[in-house]
Amino acid sequence: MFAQKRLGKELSNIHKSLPPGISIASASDFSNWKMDIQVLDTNPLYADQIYRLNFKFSGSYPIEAPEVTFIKEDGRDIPMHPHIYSNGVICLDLLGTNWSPVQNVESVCMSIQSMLTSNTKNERPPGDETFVRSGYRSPRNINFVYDDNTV
Amino acid sequence: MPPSIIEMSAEELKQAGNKFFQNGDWLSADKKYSQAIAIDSTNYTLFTNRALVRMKLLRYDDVIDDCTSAINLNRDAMKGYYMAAQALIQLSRPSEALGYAHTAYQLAVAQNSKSATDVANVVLEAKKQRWRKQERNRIDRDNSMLKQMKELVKRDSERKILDLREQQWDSPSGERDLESEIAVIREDARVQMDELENVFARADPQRYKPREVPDYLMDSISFSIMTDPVVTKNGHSYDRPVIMDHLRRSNTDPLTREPLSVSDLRPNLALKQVCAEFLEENAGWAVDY
Repeated sequence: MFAQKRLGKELSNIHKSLPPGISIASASDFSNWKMDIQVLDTNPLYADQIYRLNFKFSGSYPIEAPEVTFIKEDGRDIPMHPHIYSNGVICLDLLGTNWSPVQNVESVCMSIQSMLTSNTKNERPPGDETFVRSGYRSPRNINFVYDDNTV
Repeated sequence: MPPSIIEMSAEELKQAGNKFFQNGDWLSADKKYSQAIAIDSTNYTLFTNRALVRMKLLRYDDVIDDCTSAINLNRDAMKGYYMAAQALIQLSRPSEALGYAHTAYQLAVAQNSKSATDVANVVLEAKKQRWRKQERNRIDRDNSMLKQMKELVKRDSERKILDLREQQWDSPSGERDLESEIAVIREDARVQMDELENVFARADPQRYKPREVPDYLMDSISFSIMTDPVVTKNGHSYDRPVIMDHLRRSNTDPLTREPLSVSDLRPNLALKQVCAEFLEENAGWAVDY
């Protein structure tokens, strides 16, 4: 497969340039990268906050989507959003059923950044407590219902 | 009492060989497959299985023999062509490897095999090795010409130095600083040789070409140079084994998300030609670019 070669090239592109508000926190191998993102406008929900995304790649990347979650690390919190569970699991069709292999780490970061930018609701998804208590960490095992396209 | 070899069928021996293979016991696996072949020499999978074991044992000539037997029994034995190509690369025989690799690739695509990407990589590996061999020959050839010319410059300067010493011998003159005149001659020769090297380098377009693969030759999923580009309904091209990998998972166009299936793909022959020509000239570095 071509996962390593492709990630190697993505990494060298990322080192050259990244869009504003997105930076690389760590990428020492081709199975796990950490990216920092922040919202650039004055959205009061996320002002002056930096959030950390954890990317996990399988050997079948980019045919298979990466596993992307927010993580608490270095004082970073899980952003408040009706599609983000308090354990960091993100409900985003792009990372599941609508994944396409022409997407990449940078475009995923940008999608999540704009998902935060456009949000106005200071709330968690319905059933957050139950979901988190059930101990799901891997978003791949969940069949999300993407019923709300307004946020 | 365990069953004796005579009582075991070729199929049982093959299963026993597979088991040894899974446990990494190549020698025992090789023995079981050989016993199976002794009973039934018409089953091509016995030969491809033994070829795989012998690949692990680094017995590349034997791999090629087994692959040839498998291919003779079954013209569609993709693995036979595939492993023969790999073994020939190991033996530094890239042109022969390329022939087998091309056939393996065509069979892999026709059989919608998951190995198609790996087989395509062997095609590229063979091209790379062939390019490197040619490049080495080319540099050797060019260098011999450069060497001859540098030799001429050197001989010329040695002759001048000799003349100078003879003049000094015939009519000694305390005024002349012989050693510094010789140094000037040597310096001139050195400058001439540098110039020669520069001229040769400048006349060699290969060494001066920027080592970059143009974006339009790259597959936008694997980020590698394409070898068999196919075009989708929206006009975007992908490398066939890569888009087939994607379509096995999801029957959608990666860019538009519209329905897309293998039968919608059309070869992009012009682009294929451009990729092939680019690889012909640059395979040595472009394969890993």
